[in-house]
Amino acid sequence: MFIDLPKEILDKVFGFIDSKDYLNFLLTCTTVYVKCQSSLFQKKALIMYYSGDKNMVRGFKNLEITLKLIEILNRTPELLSDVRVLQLKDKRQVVTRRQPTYSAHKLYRTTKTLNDTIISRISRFDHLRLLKVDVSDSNFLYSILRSLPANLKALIIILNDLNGSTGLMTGHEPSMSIAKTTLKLLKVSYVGKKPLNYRQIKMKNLWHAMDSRQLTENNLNEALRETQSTEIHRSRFSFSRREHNITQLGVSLAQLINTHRDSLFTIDIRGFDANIIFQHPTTKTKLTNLRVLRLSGQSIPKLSWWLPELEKLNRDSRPLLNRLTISREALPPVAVILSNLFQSSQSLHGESDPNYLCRVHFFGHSLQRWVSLDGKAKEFWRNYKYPQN
Amino acid sequence: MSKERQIVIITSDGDRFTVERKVAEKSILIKNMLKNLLPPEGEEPDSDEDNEDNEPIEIPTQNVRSAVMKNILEWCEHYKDYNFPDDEQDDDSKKSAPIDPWDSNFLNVDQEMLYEIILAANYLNIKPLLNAGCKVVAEMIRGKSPEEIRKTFNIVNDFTPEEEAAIRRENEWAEDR
Repeated sequence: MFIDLPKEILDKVFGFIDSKDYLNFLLTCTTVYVKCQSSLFQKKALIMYYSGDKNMVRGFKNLEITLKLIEILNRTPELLSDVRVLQLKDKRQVVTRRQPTYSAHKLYRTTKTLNDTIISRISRFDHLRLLKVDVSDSNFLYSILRSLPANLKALIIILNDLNGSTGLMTGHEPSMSIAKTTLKLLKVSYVGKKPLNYRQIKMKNLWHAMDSRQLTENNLNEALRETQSTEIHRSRFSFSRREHNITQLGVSLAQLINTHRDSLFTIDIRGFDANIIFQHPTTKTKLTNLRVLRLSGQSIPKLSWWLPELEKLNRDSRPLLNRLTISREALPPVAVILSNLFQSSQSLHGESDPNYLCRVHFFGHSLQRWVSLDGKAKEFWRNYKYPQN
Repeated sequence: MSKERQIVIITSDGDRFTVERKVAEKSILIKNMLKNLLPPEGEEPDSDEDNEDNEPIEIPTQNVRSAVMKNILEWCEHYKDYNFPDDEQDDDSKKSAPIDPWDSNFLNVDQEMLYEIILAANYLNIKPLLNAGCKVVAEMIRGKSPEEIRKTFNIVNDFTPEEEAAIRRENEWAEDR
């Protein structure tokens, strides 16, 4: 009989059913439920909502579910080890049809500690492979970075608009004690409405940096870099709150990259200028396993401020990725990809769109050129897949 | 050139199936056994072992009965010249890949036989067949309510309505939102 199949087979079947059918399958009988409940935690991405803004009183339905989930995990802590994918969502993004219930006040009090409760559990998801975090609250992000579970392979950070009363600025310096994991993929995507930029450089400061130098394209670029660097390192009082937040964010992400310099395969920075991260000295390091650096168009203007130095440190050959490489062609150490594919969440699947642009630069390429892959970006990513171990 | 040694698979009910090496080696379990008993395919055996060369190699499979083994060997015969890729595909692509039409037809058997084929494929370590079998079962679950799944697999509902409601509440997080 079906229910007499051993757990390992039922788990395998479970792995092939659609996620929308998981619960219906578990509800067939107690035997199936007992045998397969842990598979639910393995196969299904665990979504937890946290309260980014204590003043908001919406999204209770999802917070209630999160609280219930925490209760289950408290009651059965061994389930923590089954979870492979965890997504932390800021409840402010949640649009819910359900209105606050009579228990709103009680729940409101509870959610005050919800963030702390979630953070205190993160490191105990000891088989967690993928962590996706939607963030508007810097303290929450920094706490997560300090608590990453040891076996994490991929971290996706979705940064929301940094404005507002709970924006990133809190005067709290991000801790440098970022947890070391086995991180291979780091993707940071900014989806806020306002561009994530420092204020424009003041002309008087630029002229000061130019000093007596002759005006050439290189000189100007260098002067711009120096000016911004000076402005960033000047007293924090001359900085707007937003700029301070941007700097703190950059420092933290730079530290995250530095901590994982031996394990990172792919760094993917979308929706904002990667210079915000790579301007910090901690990123001037050899990234032993890095294969792909994906950037979006926002990174183009200041690319020359940091990329040549990173390339210099990382132009040596890398060991073969693995025996299962689909393509027989091998790529040089690191490919830096600039593509409008990465400016939005466009899928690589589906029909190729000739309007997609993709430019690639290979570290150590003798001609130091950017190769254009106009209209063929999708094919490129299909054929030149970097499989991960 | 010496003649290739015969491989005889003996089932739990004592039936004997003589098969080609490449058919038998579709089972990783048997392949690993043969690795220790035979030289790699295409190589000649050592001359000092000639006295054993004519003896068939008998492989007992205590967990598989004759009727099931017949099916398993039919599958192995069909795919004997096909090299399945190693487990290079990620879980998602494995999950989304459709069942091969030949496999689908081959596995169009009664449920008990299907489970036995799955169990045998698991025991003999024939992953492509195991995956195909599990996918067929998963297809039988797709889009059905708990009651419909029970009906399909002839399962008796032993949940009380209260228990079912409690489980639904407890696992609300797993519902697609």
